[in-house]
Amino acid sequence: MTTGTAGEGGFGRERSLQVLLVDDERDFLHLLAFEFCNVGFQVTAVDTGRAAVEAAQRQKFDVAITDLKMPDMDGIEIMVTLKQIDPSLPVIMATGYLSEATRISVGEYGAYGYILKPFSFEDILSLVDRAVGEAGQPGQRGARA
Amino acid sequence: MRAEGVATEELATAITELLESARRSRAERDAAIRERDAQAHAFAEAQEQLRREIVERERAYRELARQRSVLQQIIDTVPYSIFWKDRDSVYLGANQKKLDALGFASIEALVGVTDYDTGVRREEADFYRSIDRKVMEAGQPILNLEETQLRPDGPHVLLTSKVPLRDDAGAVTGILGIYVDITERKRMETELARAKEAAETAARARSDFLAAISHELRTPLTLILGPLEELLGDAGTGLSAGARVQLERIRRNARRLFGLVNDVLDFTKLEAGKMEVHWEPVDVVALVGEMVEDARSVAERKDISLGFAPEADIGPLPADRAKLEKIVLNLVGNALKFTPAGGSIDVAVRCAGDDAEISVSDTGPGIPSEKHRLIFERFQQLDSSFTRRYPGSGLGLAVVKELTELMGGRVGVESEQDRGSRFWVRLPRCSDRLVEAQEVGTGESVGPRDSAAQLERVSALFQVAGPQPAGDSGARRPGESERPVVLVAEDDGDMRAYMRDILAGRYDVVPVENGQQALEAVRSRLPAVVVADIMMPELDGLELVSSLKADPKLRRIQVVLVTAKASREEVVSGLDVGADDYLSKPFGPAELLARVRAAERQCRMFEELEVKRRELESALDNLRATQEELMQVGKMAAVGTLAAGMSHELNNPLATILMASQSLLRQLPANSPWRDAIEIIERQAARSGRLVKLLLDFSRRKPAATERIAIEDLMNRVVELAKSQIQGGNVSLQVERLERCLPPVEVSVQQMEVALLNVVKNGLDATASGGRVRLAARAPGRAGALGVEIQVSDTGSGIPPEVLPRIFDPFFTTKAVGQGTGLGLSLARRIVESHGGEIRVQSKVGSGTTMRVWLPSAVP
Repeated sequence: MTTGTAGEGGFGRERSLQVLLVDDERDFLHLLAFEFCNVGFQVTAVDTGRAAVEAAQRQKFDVAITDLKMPDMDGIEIMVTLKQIDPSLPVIMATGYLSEATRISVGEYGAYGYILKPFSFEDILSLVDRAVGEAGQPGQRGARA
Repeated sequence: MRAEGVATEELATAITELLESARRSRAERDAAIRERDAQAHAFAEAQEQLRREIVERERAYRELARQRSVLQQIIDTVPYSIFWKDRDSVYLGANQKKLDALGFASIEALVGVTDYDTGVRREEADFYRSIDRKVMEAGQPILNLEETQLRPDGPHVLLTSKVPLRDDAGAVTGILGIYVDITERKRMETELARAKEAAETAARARSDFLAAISHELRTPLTLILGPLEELLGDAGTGLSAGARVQLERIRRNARRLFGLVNDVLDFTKLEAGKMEVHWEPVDVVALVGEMVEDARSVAERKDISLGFAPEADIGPLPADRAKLEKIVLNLVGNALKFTPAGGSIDVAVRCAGDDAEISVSDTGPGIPSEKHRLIFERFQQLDSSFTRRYPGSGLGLAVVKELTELMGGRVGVESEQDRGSRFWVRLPRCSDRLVEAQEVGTGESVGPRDSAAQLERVSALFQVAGPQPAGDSGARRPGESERPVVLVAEDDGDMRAYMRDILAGRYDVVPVENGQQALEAVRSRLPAVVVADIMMPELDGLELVSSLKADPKLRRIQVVLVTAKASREEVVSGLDVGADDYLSKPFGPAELLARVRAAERQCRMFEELEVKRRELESALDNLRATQEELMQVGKMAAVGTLAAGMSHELNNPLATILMASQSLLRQLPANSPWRDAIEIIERQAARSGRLVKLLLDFSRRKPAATERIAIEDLMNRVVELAKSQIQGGNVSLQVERLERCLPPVEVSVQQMEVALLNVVKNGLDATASGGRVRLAARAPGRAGALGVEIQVSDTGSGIPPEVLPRIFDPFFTTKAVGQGTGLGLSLARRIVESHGGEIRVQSKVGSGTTMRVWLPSAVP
């Protein structure tokens, strides 16, 4: 697991938001963690579904981004488990391929949204900001970039 | 004294007579006794004769009953309609299937009528009668006549045979007809042929798709790897450590993509049979040794011990060096991929008879034996759930097999689950070929071994190492032996218990007291055999048999009737209503068991027949469904599955490359000398992503949600998108003034943008060296439908007439390899057609091309 913060250079957030990143593509995971740190997030990056669930049990997150296909758990399974631990947690699914059926079930199981790889960091950041904003704490609404 | 003398004499005579009489009477009595004995004997013999006759007749009856039952079952179950008529073509009888076909409720309704009364068309009845006549007059059968009959549910094709029936004297008395409905078979034949064609097209489409995607991706990947190597080499000595990490990350992923793409290309080439063998003598020990050395650093990093055991005197092998390298690389790569840390890989080269054998053994998870054959199949991994655990194209071993076979060799695997695997390749050491190789194969066509590239590929494989796959958890359920059910219907309690005890050792016995209970129990328990007493209260044995045999679902149940006395009448009436066998009281245990066993076998046979029939039906249904699916979506369905797996594999590394390059661009100062190179990387990664998306779109079947859009808006969006694609200043793209009041269209805007953009791009490509592309729209009157036509005209060189019909075919392209997918226009057509529209092309060599896209207007 990787955890990190970048004290400065954030987008002027009032407090550091906690993001949970789940992906078994190590390169991608580290890169995403690096980028989120750069804009002032507190990042927890894990590469298995089990580690994701453990992390969510340990602490509260503002948003989670998970790959749809993981070796140990299905992305939807991870999402459902995360939402059982914290029903208010917005979960974003990131995947290289999404079939029509999965697209529908992703919504039905309560994912905040999905994003198709490859995407730019701006894309994911704006999705995360929207998710966090809608999650409703007034203090965070201003955190949008 | 004299008188006394006389008296004595008389007395003597009398005594003598008396004695004689007594003797006679004794003799008579003896004779009578003998006579009586003889009579008794004769009587006994006659009795014995009678008994034998009874037994014999009983056996004959039983045999007759059995034959009758079998015959009836056959007539009822054969998939043929059977009927017989008299000399005037009046129906005398038919089986159930014939009655069903004619829609007659009972045989009584059919007997006595002719074809003119059965509801078939008059012409058909005429035809049947004429055939009847012909057969009867000639006294010769007509066999396998194919005829069409019009039924309420459509035309049926019947295959009919008619045979004359004769009496003992040989005179023709009527006709026997048998036909089978081959409508379905005919349809299946056609459908099978079509399905086969569809499957072949699908396989071709899969290959084409892979080739297209791989070709296309090579260009951007080369453009990504080029500047990368430069940056990471001497040119980038001033890079910060952070930037270097990012660049290395990009390189790792780009190489992984490259490996994937190369695998796929190799494979599609193999599949298309485009690969040639360049024979040359190869020192196989040296070659394998070098490759093992290449892989050593990777193995060490993974903490795997890598051993190499060559046999010294193997000599030169006739082979294609490049292909042999690929074989070894793929085998070693495969072992590296699946062997966990701490494990070992052993590579060996040895003589195996006339062959040279290269083998790679690992301590990986092993392969269950049922999968041994499959692992050399193409796309095996791509289709499996292990893809994420062991990412890769899944083509490596398929390539090994194809290449080996191309060189006349064989491949194999020995493996046990959890025990590791040993893959081997055997190539013939045939010296003739070696001479040939020495003469022909001077090695001119084979470049020096690019060990750097090899290492890259092994390194790429190194990255994908993962944990062991979980073993199959196919726990077998404890087998529960299903015993056949036998129902015993008998009103006498002791008799019931007696029969139950006899049968309980072998069967699940359901004892009931009367026919009514039996009927209820039969429906719930579905026994194989019913043993029923004829004399029972409520519902007697005969009524029970009639009910069972009248129900098609219960007909197969075998009924053994038990008769109280050897009453012929009872037996005959029992067999008449359809009982399958009978048993006379008293009977012994062995006899009961034997009867029930025979009946049970019979029932099982019918059941098996039924299962087979159902299997066949469901197989046909499946085939039909599969085939419909194939026909419906054509080859795109096959591509769709593949595209899903491929795009996942491709998008993951692409995501890293794209984001890492963007990240770098943010970090680098605006005047950094490396910006240009990284911008190229970013642009090419984005392009690769778009390409994957385009191919995926192409393979998608479902139309997206539609919205209403004004045609002007749609065209402006397309032009906006297309403008960014214009290269060079000599090309102009303009929208002409549009007709007023064009109706809006209802389309998936995203899809229609792609479609129109492809049409416009086609025009732009045609005018790349200078020219004009114009867009116009009008609302032409078309019969029955309102719509709008968008015209895209270019001033390019035009399309030759022989090419014109093919431009909408997938993968057809006139551009150089790597320049176009050949998917653009076919995608455009597919999208337009899925919107109920039409796309047409007009072109003349020398004076440009006009594409016309007609779309139906939105319903007001």
